[in-house]
Amino acid sequence: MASDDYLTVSIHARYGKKSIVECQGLSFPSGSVVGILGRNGAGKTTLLKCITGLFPIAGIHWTKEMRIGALIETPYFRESWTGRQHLEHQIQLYKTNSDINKAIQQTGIQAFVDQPVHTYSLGQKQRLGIARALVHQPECLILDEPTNGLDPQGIVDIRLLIAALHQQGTNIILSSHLLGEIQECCTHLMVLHNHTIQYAGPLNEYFTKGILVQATFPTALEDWLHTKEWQFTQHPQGFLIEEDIPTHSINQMCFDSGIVLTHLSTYQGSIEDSFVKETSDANTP
Amino acid sequence: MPTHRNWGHVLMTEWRQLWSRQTAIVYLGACLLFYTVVTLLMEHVIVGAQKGWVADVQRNLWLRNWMLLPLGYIWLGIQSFVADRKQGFMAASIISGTSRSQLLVGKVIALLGISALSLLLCLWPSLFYASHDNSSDTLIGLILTILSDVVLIGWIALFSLSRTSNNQTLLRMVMLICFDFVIRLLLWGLPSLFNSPVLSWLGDNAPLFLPSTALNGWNYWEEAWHISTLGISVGYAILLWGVVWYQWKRLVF
Repeated sequence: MASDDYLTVSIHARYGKKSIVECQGLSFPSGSVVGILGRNGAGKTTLLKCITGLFPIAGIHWTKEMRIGALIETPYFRESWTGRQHLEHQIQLYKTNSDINKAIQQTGIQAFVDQPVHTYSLGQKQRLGIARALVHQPECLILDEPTNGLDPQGIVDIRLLIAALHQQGTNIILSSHLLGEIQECCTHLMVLHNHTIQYAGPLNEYFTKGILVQATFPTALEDWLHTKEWQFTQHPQGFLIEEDIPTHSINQMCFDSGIVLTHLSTYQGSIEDSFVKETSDANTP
Repeated sequence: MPTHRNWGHVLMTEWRQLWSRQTAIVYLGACLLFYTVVTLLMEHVIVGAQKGWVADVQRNLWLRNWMLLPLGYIWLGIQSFVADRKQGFMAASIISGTSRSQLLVGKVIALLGISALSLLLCLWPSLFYASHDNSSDTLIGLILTILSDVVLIGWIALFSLSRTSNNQTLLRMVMLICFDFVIRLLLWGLPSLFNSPVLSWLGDNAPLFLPSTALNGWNYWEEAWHISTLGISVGYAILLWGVVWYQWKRLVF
């Protein structure tokens, strides 16, 4: 555990004999926006429930006491109350003097906050759920699929809000199955697959990196790559060498071996490439 | 870790939460109305009715625990456990740093607070008709009502753990009471139909262990210090809350 981690998680959660989340020594760095990515049913929500105490399990270690705000799954409300009453209840719960109007403005719910919740649309409820998670100015904000049911403007608003909160130093844990959302908002990434953590670390280190090569005679290039015992994969534009070798060295080695390259470039994949590759069924244990 | 919340704050939050529902006000208002009207009727209209505050309090206890009023209290309990969970209030409390134990104890104490208020209301019409009756037995009846309510809340909490609908939980409560009534009826009737020593023994002893014995503990106030009645009520409460506590600690919100 690094000294600036605010939360470490080592859990082994089960329903009967079925494992639902497994992770060892997972840490959340202070001031980061950690994205939790996984397919449907991978265990994202369960992990967040474990962290917030809604799923009763040992192995959650908060290194410092902090106010938490959370939106987990679909937000539920007392339908007869107005949005404002819900926010006031949240303020009372945390005994803070936070400004309700700030959260109302941040989430854009001014137009309907004084109406009863039963008149709200799904997106409006989602906005109120986010406002409820924010209103007491949490030091750690946990959002589970925050853009569910939101219109395009709402999605942009939430992304901007997350960026602003990150700037203010709020720790954010964000779960989503939307790759773009994670790529836009997060500094760190955690990939859950089959209820276990497959990757945890900085987002930019998750992308596949390497050197993309193509030759006049691709078969000869492939045979040559095999002789080098390098890690490589086929790519629509040629072969992707997943090794940390300078491009000029590869160029020189190919030239020395009589292979004429038609393409040579450094490559950085997208989050989508890496995610699909790591969580494809072929990689399923 | 999430910020820790102290007991006073938890209790105050649960108390406010209970009062935020109209059911609490309607229930206590109905108690006040029933007690007042029935006391006035008995004192001034019904010829030959027992008079004096002990008789009045006893009648009010019957009204509170046997007629329509218990349904109001059961509904309030269901709202506190089922609706609060369904509407996200319990999850919000836990995320805010309330421990599961604090949440459960807070809810029970808040409900018992309403229970105590309704018992106080039992007394007030009788203040106008004070007599010099021996009051100790009636006071025992009041105290035992709290014990019966602890068991009642325990059943509501137990059923609410596996149900997220108010109506389903209410249905289960009604089924429990009906089931108990049918078994009690069979245990009473069968020994007289069949001359069997086993049935006779069951008829004499088994009813004591039915849930209604504890729910009805207040009704045995005249024999409150009889160890079997009091012991079974207390034993029932401990057993029931032991099960609730075990399940509550494992509940996924």
